[in-house]
Amino acid sequence: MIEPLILLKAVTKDYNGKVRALDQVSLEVYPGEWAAVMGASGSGKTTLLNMIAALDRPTSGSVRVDGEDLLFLTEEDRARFRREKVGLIFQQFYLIPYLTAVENVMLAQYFHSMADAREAAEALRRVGLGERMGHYPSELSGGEQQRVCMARALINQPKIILADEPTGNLDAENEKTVMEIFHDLHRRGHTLLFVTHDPQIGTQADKIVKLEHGRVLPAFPVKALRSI
Amino acid sequence: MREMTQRILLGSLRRRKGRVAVAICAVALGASLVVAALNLRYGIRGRLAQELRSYGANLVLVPRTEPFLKERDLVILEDERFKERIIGYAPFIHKIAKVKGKDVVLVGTRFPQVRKISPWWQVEGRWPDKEGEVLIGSSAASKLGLRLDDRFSAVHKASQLSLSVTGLLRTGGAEEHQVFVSLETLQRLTHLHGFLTSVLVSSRAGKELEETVAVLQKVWPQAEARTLLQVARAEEALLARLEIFLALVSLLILVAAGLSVYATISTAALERRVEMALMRALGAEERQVAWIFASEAAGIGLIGGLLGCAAGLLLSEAIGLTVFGSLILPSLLSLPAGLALGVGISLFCSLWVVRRVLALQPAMVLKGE
Repeated sequence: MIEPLILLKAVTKDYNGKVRALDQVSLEVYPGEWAAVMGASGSGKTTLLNMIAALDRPTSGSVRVDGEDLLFLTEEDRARFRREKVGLIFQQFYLIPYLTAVENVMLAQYFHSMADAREAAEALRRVGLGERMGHYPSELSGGEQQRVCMARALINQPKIILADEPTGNLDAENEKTVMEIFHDLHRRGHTLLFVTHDPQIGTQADKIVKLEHGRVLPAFPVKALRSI
Repeated sequence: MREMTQRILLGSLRRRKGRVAVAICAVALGASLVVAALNLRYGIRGRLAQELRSYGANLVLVPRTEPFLKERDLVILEDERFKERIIGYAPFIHKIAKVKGKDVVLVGTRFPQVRKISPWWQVEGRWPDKEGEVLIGSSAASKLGLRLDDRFSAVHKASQLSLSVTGLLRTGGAEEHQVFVSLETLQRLTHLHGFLTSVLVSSRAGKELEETVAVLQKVWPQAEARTLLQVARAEEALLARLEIFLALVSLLILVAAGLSVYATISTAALERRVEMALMRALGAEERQVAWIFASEAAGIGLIGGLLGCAAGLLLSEAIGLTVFGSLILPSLLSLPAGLALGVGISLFCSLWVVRRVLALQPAMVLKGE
């Protein structure tokens, strides 16, 4: 029997004991699966992604990813978990402004093991940025910056790709390019988890988890949503 | 690993020139003030101690057992070991003589040397520069009814000298009751060739004065060295107060400069908290993030510290030239202190911010909280 790669059980996250961002959220994502977490702004999507990426800690419940219970990891173990098991893609890209595209990719290698300019360049070529690797983020378009971010997320061959509104800041053309890359990753067996408010993006996934006020709504019929 | 760190540091320095320049300037300004304050603290003390010596002798040498000191022993005071300690000295011989039938204290001395150790003496007319010329104290002149250019005779036992008044002396002290002639003139009148009754010495104040006395007593056993306690103590008290004042000013400058550097570097580091959180989100260990930002801070601190040391040195010398008309000997402590301030505060601020940011969950920082 295949174990879920991501397993959340009754995860609750309170901020300052007042605001409940997540309320008893449970979730399973299996290896090779593409899951989309959807919901309106403030529904707790990003908080959920942060829990899975070990970027934040839940108030209660358990988060188990690739057999590791994140709740019991030290901060250094959580950093190790992030560099070894997840590739993160952010809506705001978060590229270091004074490093070139290839250096931004190398940064993830550097924290993982060893920076290798040749490998980083290859990763950029795969996302169609072979000609732009010496450019600084300010010299790249939004779509290009997002693709650098994707190359950075993929460079260490993580088991899970976590993306927070990856097309949120892109125009239609760039959105298409980026989504093609995600489809390609999915075809090659990568496990993907997206956070998005856009039904057009969300319905491309195998599984949709709909959040509302921090709670998971009943199972969502993806095929039905696609046919709309 | 080192290559990537270099790329990050060089990239940051190249692409953030403005920010880096502001940080370096803040460190340089702080370091320069500290270096200047420390240099002035030590330099001014030395210079003032020297300046104070222009207010007269603080040491007198008198015969220990014999009635007179030997003039040829004055060569001891020219010895190399006194070169830095003794600012000046003047030999004296005192004798009572009869002028116009009245007893007057005749003082034989070397005028150029007296002028050096007693620059506040006010002379109406001119200082004697020839044989038979005298400087007469204002009270003695009134008592004897003598004025400038008057000639008179001084009688000591069977000897007699013909003298002329070239200058009237005002000192506010006992010198106003005396008549000053050249040492050789009085020695000839009194037949005391090669003898002295005392030597006034102007030595550096404080510990150096005590050391001068100790050495003198060793190398010139026939002379008894007595400190002029009032002068020495007043100088000591003044220098001690000055020392406290300068120490407090240096401390204030150190604190003010430190706070200014702290504010600038901390703000610059805080602006980069998203970078720190991103590195952490990408899986960087705490020590890796700390190493990157600490290396950059140390570089900024070192460059700023070195520039500040040079600027502080120039500033203190400029102040020395303006106030004292001469360069100030820089304190050896000032340069390491300036560098330590630059590197130390930059490192401290940077690591303090890194620690604060790393204590938060990366998600919180990336969210802008």
